[in-house]
Amino acid sequence: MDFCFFKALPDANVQWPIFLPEQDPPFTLIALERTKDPDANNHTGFDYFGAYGTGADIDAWAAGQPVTAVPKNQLPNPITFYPAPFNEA
Amino acid sequence: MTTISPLLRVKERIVGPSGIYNIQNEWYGYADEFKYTIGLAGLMGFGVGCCPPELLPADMALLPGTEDRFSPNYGTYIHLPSASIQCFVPAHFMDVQSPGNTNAPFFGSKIVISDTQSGDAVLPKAFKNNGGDLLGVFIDKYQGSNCRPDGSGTPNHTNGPGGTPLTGGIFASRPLQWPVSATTKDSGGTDFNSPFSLCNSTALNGAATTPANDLGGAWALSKTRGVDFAPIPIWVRSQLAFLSLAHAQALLDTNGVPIAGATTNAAWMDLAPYAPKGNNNNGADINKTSLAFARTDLTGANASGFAGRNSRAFTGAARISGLAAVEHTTHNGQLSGIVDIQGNQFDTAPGLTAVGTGAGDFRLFPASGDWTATSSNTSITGAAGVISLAAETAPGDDDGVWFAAAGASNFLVAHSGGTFHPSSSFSNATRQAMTETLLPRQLGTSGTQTGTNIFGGDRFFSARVNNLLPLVGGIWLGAANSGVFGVFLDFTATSTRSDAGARAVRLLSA
Repeated sequence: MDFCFFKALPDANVQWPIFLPEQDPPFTLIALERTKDPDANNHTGFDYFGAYGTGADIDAWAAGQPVTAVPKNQLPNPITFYPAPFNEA
Repeated sequence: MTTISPLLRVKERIVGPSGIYNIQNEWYGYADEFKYTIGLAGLMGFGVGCCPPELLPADMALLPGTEDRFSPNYGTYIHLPSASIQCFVPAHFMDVQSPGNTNAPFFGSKIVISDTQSGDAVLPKAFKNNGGDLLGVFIDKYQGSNCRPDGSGTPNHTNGPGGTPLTGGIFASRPLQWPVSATTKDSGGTDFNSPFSLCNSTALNGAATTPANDLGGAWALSKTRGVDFAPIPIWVRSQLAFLSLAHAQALLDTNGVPIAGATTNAAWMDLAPYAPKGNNNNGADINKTSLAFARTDLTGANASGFAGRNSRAFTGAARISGLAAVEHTTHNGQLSGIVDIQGNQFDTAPGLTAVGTGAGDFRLFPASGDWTATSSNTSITGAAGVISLAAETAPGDDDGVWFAAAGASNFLVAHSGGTFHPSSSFSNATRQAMTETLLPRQLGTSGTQTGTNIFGGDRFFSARVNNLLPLVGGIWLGAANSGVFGVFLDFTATSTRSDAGARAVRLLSA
């Protein structure tokens, strides 16, 4: 399983891949931090996303989205929402 | 001799915040009777209200604060035999207007809620049943779970991590419990789901039967609580969605920005989209990432933080920084509202079905029928006076069912003529039926999602299937697709879904 992280401007129209429920999706995308969320841990001016699953599928999705790949060590610390399996990777 | 003067009662005028941009949002009457109304959009207490005590069913009781508009328990009642918590939504009139533009704060769909009728306002289908009008509807505050049939409201599970759901339960609306789903438990030694079928006690209703583990099982499931309960119909769910939208519009200024103090009366006004948030992002809200749902059950037994499978949360689990934040998930943005109204699990919302896959095959249960007496989709299609929705006369005519039989994703958007058919067009029964069952106009949808518009990018999954049973609200991985206006039409009464739960209603005749 591959893990990828992205950042985007808060007004960017990041679109979720549409998978039907009960199907095994090729990857799972999760919003990890929204800078406009008044209760967020950090307000960096960017939104952060994480994805886990098949790297090629994640890359294909990201290519069509207004997101920039970032390494894990460039996520805000602490990140607002960091569920499993990210925190176990 | 002592002379006793009668108490002087003076009528008062209460004005809601939407008055600042000239929509009718005020109430005039005796102040002590205001609590029996739906309230005023934008104010504390809007969206729920009190049941007149002389009409309260004998087996229901008030909670501390039920009649205090500023209490978390405002408009909240307990069904004593099952310990179910329900919210009372008083009958009201609604005018869905299309202001002719998509400007803030209405974005093409102006929702006017009032205690009195005026203009094109109608008494929504949610408040009509069995040929008469309703005083209001008791609605489950929480998605139902499998509870012991002893009135304790405790989970009908074994002890241990998460507990193993047991047979012999009743369907009850309780906080921090594992909501039931329309599927089996799963084999292999792991209890992924709490199935409908284990709510099979006849303790509260001798005529109750074992629910099937499919969407159609929602009827039998509701009856385990009592003969007066029925699954929440789609027209009651639609009314909750319109109440949310009216509340948001009353708290926005003409630039679409929340007015000062808006979050006091609707917690979800703190972050766009200005609509209820929920567990739609695998344990958090997609927009409000600080709103997290992983939480142990009432006994602290479930170490995973989730209820069985995947990221399904316990009922009313929302927290921010470890503190309860349930008001972000309610239809009115207040603690008094109906919880987890989007995300987590679909609500099974019958009432609209289909007898085939044609555009003219949709059928809606009529207001002349008794919803509480229904037991399946057959009760709908066989009802005297069943409403047949018309197919659109020709593409673009905007007068009927416009979508294809094959499943397709559509996302709600603003339109100058309204995202939904306005009340002024309700002389056409199909248009009224579409609005009251959350079927948008074709022009009110787009193939491209905008997750932060007034509808939060809610998804209308169109399809035409025989024996339809709609699902509404969304699920734990639905992202922006989930929302109070989210509707899926691609499932049937025999569909098995591990992500679909249920709520019950109790209708109160006027």
